Amino acid sequence: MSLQGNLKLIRKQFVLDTGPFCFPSSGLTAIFGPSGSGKTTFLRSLAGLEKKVEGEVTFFGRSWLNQGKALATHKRGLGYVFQESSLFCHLNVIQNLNYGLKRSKGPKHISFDQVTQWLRLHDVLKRDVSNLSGGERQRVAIGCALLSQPQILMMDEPMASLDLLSKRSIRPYLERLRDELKIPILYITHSPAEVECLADYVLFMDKGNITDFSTIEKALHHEGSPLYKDEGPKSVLPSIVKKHFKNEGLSLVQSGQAQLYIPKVERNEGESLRVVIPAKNVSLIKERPCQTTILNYLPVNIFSIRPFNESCVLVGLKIKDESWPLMAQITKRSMNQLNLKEGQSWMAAIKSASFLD
Amino acid sequence: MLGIDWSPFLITLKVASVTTFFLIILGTPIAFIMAHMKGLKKAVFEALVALPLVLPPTVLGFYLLVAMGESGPLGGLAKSFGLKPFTFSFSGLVIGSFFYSLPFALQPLMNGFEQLGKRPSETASALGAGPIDRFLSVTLPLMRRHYLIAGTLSFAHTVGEFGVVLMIGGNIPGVTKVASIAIYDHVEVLEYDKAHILSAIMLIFSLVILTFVYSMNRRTEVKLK
Repeated sequence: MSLQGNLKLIRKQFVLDTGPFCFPSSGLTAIFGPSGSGKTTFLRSLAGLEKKVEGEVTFFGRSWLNQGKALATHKRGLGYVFQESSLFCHLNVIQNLNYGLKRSKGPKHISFDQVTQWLRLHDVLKRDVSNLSGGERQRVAIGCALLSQPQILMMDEPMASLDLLSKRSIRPYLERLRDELKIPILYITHSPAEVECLADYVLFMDKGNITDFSTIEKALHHEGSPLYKDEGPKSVLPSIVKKHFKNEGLSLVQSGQAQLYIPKVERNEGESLRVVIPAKNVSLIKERPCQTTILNYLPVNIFSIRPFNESCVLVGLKIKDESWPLMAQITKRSMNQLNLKEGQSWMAAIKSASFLD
Repeated sequence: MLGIDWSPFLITLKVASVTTFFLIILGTPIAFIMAHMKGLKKAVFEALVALPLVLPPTVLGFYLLVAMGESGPLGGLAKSFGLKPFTFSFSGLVIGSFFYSLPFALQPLMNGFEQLGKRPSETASALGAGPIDRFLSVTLPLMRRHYLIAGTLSFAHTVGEFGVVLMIGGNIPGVTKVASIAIYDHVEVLEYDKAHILSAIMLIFSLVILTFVYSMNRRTEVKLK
């Protein structure tokens, strides 16, 4: 565990009181909660950008905050991406990128070339900061943070101020960072979709408190999880793009041993992405019918059956060689008629699967 | 040349340069602190700083004269350091001009700090820059126009002072006699031709400086009183 401690900050209208927290030493942790739940205040306090914070924070054994003694932000070795991109307008793009790089101490794990390649910045390097689009500015801001050679990357809703197209364009870069960077990433969001496609862990916040911390797999299926407030339970399957069928507008992706057809995605073959399947779109049948309009049938094993609501249960299904579960929302009536039990083998028919957008 | 004593001009420029220097150096932290104040406290400080704008210069000059006197706080300070009293000296003129022109340095700088906000400095600190580094590499370049305006206005306003100088600097030729007082003296003895020349120079000088400031002003949208 890398970053741990507890924080308290008392303001006139708002109290942040985290209780003990502990972040994993790698992977992306989404800090999720409604507006006003204290996500930004929490992250700013962690970064040392808020004054009068009480509590204790250590990062890999180094004290950041202890009995009122706070280590200055610039000595913490962190990268911070603000909600609205904050580039220096008196510097050009290259100078912005070099600002943190020049001031970083120790070995350079992340090179200028690597960052420009990861974030595809070649085209914007020569441009003036004021001529960049929102998405481009945010990519440069992420690049600046990375080049300062951070030991931990903190991002405060980096996509919140972007339009839908820019969001779509920037998300693959974030997925790539999550997979390539060896440092922990803390990522604030209030969008369940962003949690589903980016997070490895989820920290839930509400009214200034941390209410839960779990892995994404658990968070997605956790009953009453705030991720589901509106949309009902769903499964997320990490998968790899296998093939595109341009004429039919479909892409084939693989998840564990299962192959799925989904609406065509703008990704190259071999790239990874997460597929979302609402639990209510998954049915169970004993054998694959010979004539059917449903495209996706996956052989699965039932590993759990949990009550969900008055009429339905939530059935946990395992796909071979895939650690993330597939969830199906089945009526109690069907469960009783088919005598569904844990350990049985079934075929999951999926009416619709989508790529997260 | 033309039988005019040019030393008042030199003294004026010297006083204005030295005063502007101190206004920028000391004005920066004051403006920074005031820009981050809120509520009544800020209003009180803003009013204090703006006082020289509304007070008759003789009132300001009078209080400064008392403060610089042997029993005043500034006079006592000078005495304890073994310095000559500030009254009727060049340093006295600079101290007087400092307070007299303070609002003209603080207004643009405060506006600059308020417009800039905390974000650039926070970004820089997250990128590993310490406080002095941040000020020099981010705050200063982003506020260069505000500094230029603050400097130019302070300089111009100091050049134009009269009452305060008269009260605390006297009228010692070659030491504390500045251009504005020289003009007054010329008029008193009916040397209108000399007064004309000096006045015309002051007029053109002020016009040039103000044109410069307003052309900057349009680009930075700084609101000046």
